[in-house]
Amino acid sequence: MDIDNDHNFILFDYHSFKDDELHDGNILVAYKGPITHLVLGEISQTVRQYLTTSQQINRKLFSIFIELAQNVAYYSSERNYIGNEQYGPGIGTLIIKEMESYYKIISGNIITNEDAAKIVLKSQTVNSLDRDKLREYKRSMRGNGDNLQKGNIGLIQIALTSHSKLDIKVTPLNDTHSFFSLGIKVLKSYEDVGEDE
Amino acid sequence: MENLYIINSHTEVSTPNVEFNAETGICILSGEAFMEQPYNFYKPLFNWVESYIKEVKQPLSFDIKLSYFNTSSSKFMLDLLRLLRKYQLTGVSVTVKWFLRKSDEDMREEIEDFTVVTGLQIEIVAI
Repeated sequence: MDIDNDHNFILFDYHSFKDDELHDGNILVAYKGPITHLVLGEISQTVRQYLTTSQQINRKLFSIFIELAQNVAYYSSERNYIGNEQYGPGIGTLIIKEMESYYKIISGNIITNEDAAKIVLKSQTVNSLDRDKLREYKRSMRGNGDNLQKGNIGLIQIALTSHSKLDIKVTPLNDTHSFFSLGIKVLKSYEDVGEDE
Repeated sequence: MENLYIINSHTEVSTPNVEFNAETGICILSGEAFMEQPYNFYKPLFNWVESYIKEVKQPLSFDIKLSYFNTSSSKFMLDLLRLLRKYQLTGVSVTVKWFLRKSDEDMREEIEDFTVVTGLQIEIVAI
């Protein structure tokens, strides 16, 4: 039996990122799998130490990467199982691309339609506010969520740190779940960024 | 009352160093904070400060040298600063110094937000 014919998945296509949007620019980081503590620690150190020579930009990339990765770890509906027991953090994809004048950090994962609806609504609010209003919104939301462990301001902070809009895409999968992706631009220089973009 | 020391090991990059001294009232938080279960980490810190307020009843001085914290940790920082403000309002001397790199505008905004929300004065020390 030819093992290669056992499945239709072509690893080369996956590796080559045969997708125009993804193919554009340099891929600095691409990970798919469970966002374990070790994976997060390792990639985040790389993000901080090696991606750029600007400490300011490294800090921004690092901070946004952590927020996105921890959102995937927490909210992803896709998990591994040992027998019937779910174990480990959420599974998702994390990508950092370098374009000519900015970096783009992208996360993707499966979430419940209920969470998707909440995130879309919150993102619309975040994207509609100028910087001062966004900071006000953050002050009013911090610590006011249902979850004791969460700050409730991840999306707001990502928008503030990057000075750019949240690029949200939701692809419905079935009655209960959707694929959710979030892209965010981090400019290569923030010297000229005014109060709003 | 005992001191609270939690020193970060090299295998654990996401938790800060904690040096809370019950004799001097000097408390230092340094390093970075982006742990996944922040409640479990911060609970003993809150317990310590609450005990200090109840038992020692002396001035408190916080030196915050965190170079990064995630949004989950920021919620606990806010709670801590609120607790310190409450203690200060009882008439005890409470000072908070925040060590800030000059280029870190994002952190400067965080500190401003904490000040606005808690009413606690935070002295910025440029590093």
